[in-house]
Amino acid sequence: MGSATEGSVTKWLERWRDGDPAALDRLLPLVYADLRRIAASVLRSTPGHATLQTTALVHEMLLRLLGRAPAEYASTTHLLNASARMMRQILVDRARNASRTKRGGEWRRADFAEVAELQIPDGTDLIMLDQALTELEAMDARMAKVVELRYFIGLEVPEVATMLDVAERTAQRDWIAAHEWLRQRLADT
Amino acid sequence: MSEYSLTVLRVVRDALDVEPHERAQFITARCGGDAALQARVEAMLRNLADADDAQPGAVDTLIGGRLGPFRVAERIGKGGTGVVYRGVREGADFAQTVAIKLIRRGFDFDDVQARFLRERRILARLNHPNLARLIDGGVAPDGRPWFALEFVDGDAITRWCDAQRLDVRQRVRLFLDVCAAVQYAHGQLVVHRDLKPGNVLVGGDGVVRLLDFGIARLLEGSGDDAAAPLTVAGSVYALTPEYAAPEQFTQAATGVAADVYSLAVILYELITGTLPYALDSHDLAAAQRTVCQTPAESPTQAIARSEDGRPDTATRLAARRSSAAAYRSTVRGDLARILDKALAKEPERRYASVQAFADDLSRWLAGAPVRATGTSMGYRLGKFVRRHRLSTTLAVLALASLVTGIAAVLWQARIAQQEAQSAIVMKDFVVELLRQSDMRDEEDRISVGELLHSGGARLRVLPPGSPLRLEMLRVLLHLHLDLNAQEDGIALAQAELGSEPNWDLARTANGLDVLTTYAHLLDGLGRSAERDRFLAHLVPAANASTDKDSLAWADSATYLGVMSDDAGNLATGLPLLEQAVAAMRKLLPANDPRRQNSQVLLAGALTSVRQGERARELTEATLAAGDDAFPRERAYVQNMAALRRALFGEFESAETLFASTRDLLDRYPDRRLLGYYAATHASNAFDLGDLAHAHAMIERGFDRAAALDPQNISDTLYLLRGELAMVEGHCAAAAGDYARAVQANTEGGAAPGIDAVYAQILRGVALHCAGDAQAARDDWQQANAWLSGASEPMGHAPAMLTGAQAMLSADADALDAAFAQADAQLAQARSRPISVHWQLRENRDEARLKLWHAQALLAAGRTDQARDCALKALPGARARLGERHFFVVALQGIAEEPQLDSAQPLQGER
Repeated sequence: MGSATEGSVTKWLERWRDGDPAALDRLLPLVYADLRRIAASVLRSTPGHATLQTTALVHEMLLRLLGRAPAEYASTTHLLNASARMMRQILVDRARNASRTKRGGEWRRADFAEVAELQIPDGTDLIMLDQALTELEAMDARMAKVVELRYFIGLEVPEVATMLDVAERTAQRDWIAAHEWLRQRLADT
Repeated sequence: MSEYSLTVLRVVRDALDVEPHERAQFITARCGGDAALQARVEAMLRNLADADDAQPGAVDTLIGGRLGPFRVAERIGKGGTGVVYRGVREGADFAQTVAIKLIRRGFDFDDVQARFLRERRILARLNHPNLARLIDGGVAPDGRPWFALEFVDGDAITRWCDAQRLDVRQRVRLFLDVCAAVQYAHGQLVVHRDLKPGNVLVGGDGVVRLLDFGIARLLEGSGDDAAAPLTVAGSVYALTPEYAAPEQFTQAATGVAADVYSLAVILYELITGTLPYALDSHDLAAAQRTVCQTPAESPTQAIARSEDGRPDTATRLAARRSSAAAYRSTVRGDLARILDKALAKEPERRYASVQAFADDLSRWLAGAPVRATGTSMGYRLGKFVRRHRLSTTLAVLALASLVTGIAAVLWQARIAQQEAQSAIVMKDFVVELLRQSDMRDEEDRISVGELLHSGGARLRVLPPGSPLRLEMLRVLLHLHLDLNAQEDGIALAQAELGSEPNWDLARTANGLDVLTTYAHLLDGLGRSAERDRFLAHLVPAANASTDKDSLAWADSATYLGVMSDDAGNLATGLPLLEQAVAAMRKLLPANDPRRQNSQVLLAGALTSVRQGERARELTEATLAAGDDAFPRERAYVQNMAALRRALFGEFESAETLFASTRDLLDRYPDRRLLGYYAATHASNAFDLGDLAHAHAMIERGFDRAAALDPQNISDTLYLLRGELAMVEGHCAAAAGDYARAVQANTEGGAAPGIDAVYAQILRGVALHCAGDAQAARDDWQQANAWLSGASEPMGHAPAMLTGAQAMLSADADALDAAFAQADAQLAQARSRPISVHWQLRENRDEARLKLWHAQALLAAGRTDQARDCALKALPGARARLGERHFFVVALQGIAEEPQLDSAQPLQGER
């Protein structure tokens, strides 16, 4: 990462402060990991917190930044579900635009993997991943949700289990099966 | 195609819910004769099983079988893609044990295989006494290639050194053998790339053996490996985060420099028993950030660090046959610099070769000058700024969102209770964010400053008098305080609240905190009259509050307590601080910086009212609960704990804390603490009784103070330099330094307080010693006049004045009575509240008055009485100050050999 990343954060930040709403969209993946880390250190001093709340706090902030009023989310679960969906949307849109326009300096997955600490395997084609996830959703929505929560907001399996209110063992089986299927599915095409 | 694969997935997923022994049957039933489907389901399940490696009861078919000439005895290890067995060759008259390495079943992909064969080839070309020898190789019945290495029955080098209790120098010597082996490999154009203690074993014969060239790479130009480039994009090779060089995380080309780095981490661990930085090896991204950004702790600091799963400091010191002091003197300086250079984040700043690294270590062993030069403060500071720019930017972002986003949203007044709650969480978030990145970098400060300013402007669009506006004001005032922007903060508070605020605001905890912060800002600019007017209103309000369980109240009470103490009102201040700490204990964990801060401030107040024991327990407990995540707070707590130790005469253990504080401040410069630290450390160095060290610390104190503000050097440093000059018998020089201390305290026409009077008295004695009787008397008269005209409490200055008078007057008959009076005055002073710094001086002066007494008796020719006086004083002085204190040593000298060997008032150096 280093200076290139910092440079682009500053650049997008300045643009955003100058009133370019689209800049926030660019900022998002770049600041995500740091927000999460800082939120964790802040919440450490709040008694009785859980990791889920850390993630929720960050996402609440992101939603605010994006101008989507968080009041419509009734619970942490709801908020994180929506966030995972939104991150997926943003990242896939980004990948689509990048492949269409081929402009220089586009956001690359490599940046993302480094900065956002998400668990999407290296070299994944996000557009294909999106398609595969959509197929998976049609067959088994929970398995798709497990992948979405792990990939796009970086939750661990036990956290996913808490969120979906299933046994950890169940979430783990969902995860290993879906993960292997995605691996094959993306390698096939 | 994909529908089909979804069917496969469905069956696989369902099969996972079935007990393993019933799975085969289940799958057959579900596939209903579709052989292709069944085959794919089974294949996928096998992949899963491999992936989580959980096949309890699976039989390892290799064990008991043969590979080449070896019988496979047992599995002894498993790595990322490899697995290692112990093999035995039984010959007619000998048995040879080898380590047989294979690719793990299920991992025999092409690239893994290529890498494996490469390792075998690399090993084949290496032949060195410190490298495990390649013995044989072949292909297993299932097609997997294998090779056999000399079996090293040894311990990891770190464990071996601990078990043998090698001292630091012996460890360095042994480490040079490791360097020799790595240097040899480099000479063969092989970089190891995975050096770690587990790969550096020491056998029963005490010989070092280097293992595992599994991810080694051949250096450019060696020719025969073009077929299998290892660093192909996307294939992250195995990596041990604890020992990997920064550049290894980024997959940039790694060379000799990476091995230098890993070797340095091993050496660091050999020396300190811990890693250069605390690291979460399970989170690769976090580990990468740590390795790339966190500077290594100095070895002095590292030995004091306690970590789960590692022996405590005492055990580690014992394993090195060392004491804290001996360890410190061994590792600091050149050895620390060598490590620093080898651990540089940028490869080009490291030693260019392992040989150069080893050469410098040899020079160190021989006591010769080393080549490594220290990392300059400027470089460190630069690094720090660069590292933190991102988080500062983030702070700006977060604050902007707070002020624009939340304020705007909440102002819509369509807010659920939950919303208001989360706004508070967000605010704490932002406050903490800014606290963590409270950079003093000009560039960033401006942008944060601007933001604070625009925050104030935005505040005015909120409904006047609304709780929200007050809440936002509170955030902004705290931020101004934290960012040392007192003037702007006061301007904002004045604009919002007026110079004479509505004191009813103090009825809520938030309002109370706003007004307290306002007062705190005034206090910061030395506007104490206004501060006191605020206190008169706020202290009663705080005491009457019904919201004492809130953090806002605890914050206010802390600072109201401290400010009351500063205003001389200890009876009010102390109970507030006690309650603040009690509230924080309920609300915050022990490592929280806010709680730590309040505890240490309470300890300060307790010390002042002579409850030193309790204060000491409190600072020690605070220190023990401290967290490396908040280095500045830690430095502050350490400094305070060090002073409390010194108060009990434990100057050695205080010194350890001061040294560690210095290391922290070097890495996290904090102007607010730096000057204070410099003066207090110098004072402790004096009390330690080591002349050279005291000189060094006092001079470094001057350097630091001058770097902060050359116009404003602490009077304490001048005073200490005077004290040290006296110890060495340089009376005239001492008088000069004491005079500067007086001057520093009377500048600007300030009424001379205790600081000026105290230094003035000592100056008189120094002049007397230098033989200028008249000047000495004039000085004393001046001190006497100041003292009698004083409006503030003068601590134990009267005792010193009495003692000095006796010294100067040389009225032999009055000596005993005069010093008895001085002792009584000192004892009286000791019952009154005063800061820890004056209490430290009281301790020192208790012995000094005895010393003066004995010296005066000597000067009057009463040798026997002088000896008696010294002998009687010694036990008490030793108990208070220890054996090595200059004053104790001087008393000892008179007790042993009572003679006046010059006009010097004291002769500390032996």
